[in-house]
Amino acid sequence: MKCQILQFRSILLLILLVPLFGQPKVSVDLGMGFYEPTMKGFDKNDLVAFPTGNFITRNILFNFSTYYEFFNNARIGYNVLKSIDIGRLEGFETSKPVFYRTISYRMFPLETFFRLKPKLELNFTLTPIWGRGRITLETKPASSEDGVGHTITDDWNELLNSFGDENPLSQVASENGMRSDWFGYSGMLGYRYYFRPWIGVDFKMGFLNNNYNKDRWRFQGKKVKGPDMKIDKIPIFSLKLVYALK
Amino acid sequence: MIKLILYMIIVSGVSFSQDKEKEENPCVDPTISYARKHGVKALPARDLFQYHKASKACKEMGGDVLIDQISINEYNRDFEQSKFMSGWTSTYGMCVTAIIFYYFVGLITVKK
Repeated sequence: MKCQILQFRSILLLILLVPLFGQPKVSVDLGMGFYEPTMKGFDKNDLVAFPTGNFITRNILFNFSTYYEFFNNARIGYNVLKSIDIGRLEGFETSKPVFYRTISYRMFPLETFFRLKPKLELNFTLTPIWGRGRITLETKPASSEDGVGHTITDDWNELLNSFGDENPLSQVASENGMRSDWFGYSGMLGYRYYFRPWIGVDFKMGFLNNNYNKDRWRFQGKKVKGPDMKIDKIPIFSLKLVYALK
Repeated sequence: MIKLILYMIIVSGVSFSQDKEKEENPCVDPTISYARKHGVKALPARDLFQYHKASKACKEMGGDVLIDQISINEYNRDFEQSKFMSGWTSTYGMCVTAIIFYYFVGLITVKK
């Protein structure tokens, strides 16, 4: 029995010690993505004037990712690309609610790579996407100037009507966000330059394919219609700073 | 009691002299020695700040070659490990390239 315990301890010690002298495994990346979606539901909406789209709110994606190198030439990770839009909505009957819109492309990439030169790396990524869109309205009950009965529900109904949903909500609780989830996939080719052994710049180009459907939004458990967006089969570019932690 | 005082003097003397040596020569910092052996990325995260501080001080003291050599060794080590794709990774890379190639070909031809 003692011998077995000793054996177990030796194996455990070996398992614990080996990674200490291993090569870098974990890295954290921070950067930006660039793409060009078509957001008809916001930009060409006849009923509600959404905040005017600009380069930052339409084409820029904020990027955070973390990777674990599980093999000499391969790493897996988690990568989030996020598009954000904030502003006041015009065109509502009496109120001007604050509008938040986020679209998150959450990726679980499997990336293989090799080094062309000691400082240059070429990488290949395929990833499934779990996308999520979220729209929030910050509005006040009875927000009309004369205080006559314009409620949160009315504001939401105006918004949903502008997306083509003709089935109005009867009552809105305090939690006021609508969201949609979808799946997709992406492929990217990347080029990485290490200007320190632990810091590098990574440029990737590829495509983004999302199975987004405007009829699959949910608002407080109810199915509603969302904005019309074309986010499938679009080219995407990303530029990020890579920091190898260990 | 005298023995204890003597012991304390010796111990503090030794430790002070080590600190002085470290202050005089930051290139002997243990994080630098560790990085020389295993690479900067093998350092525990908590020691990274100390390493960067020590390496900066070491460079200022004229230890540029030593710090550069650590980087060069690390580049070479990483290069040796991943200059060739092994196993399934090359097949995967080829598949990704083909998918992206056909995607862009499709994009161009559809637009035309």
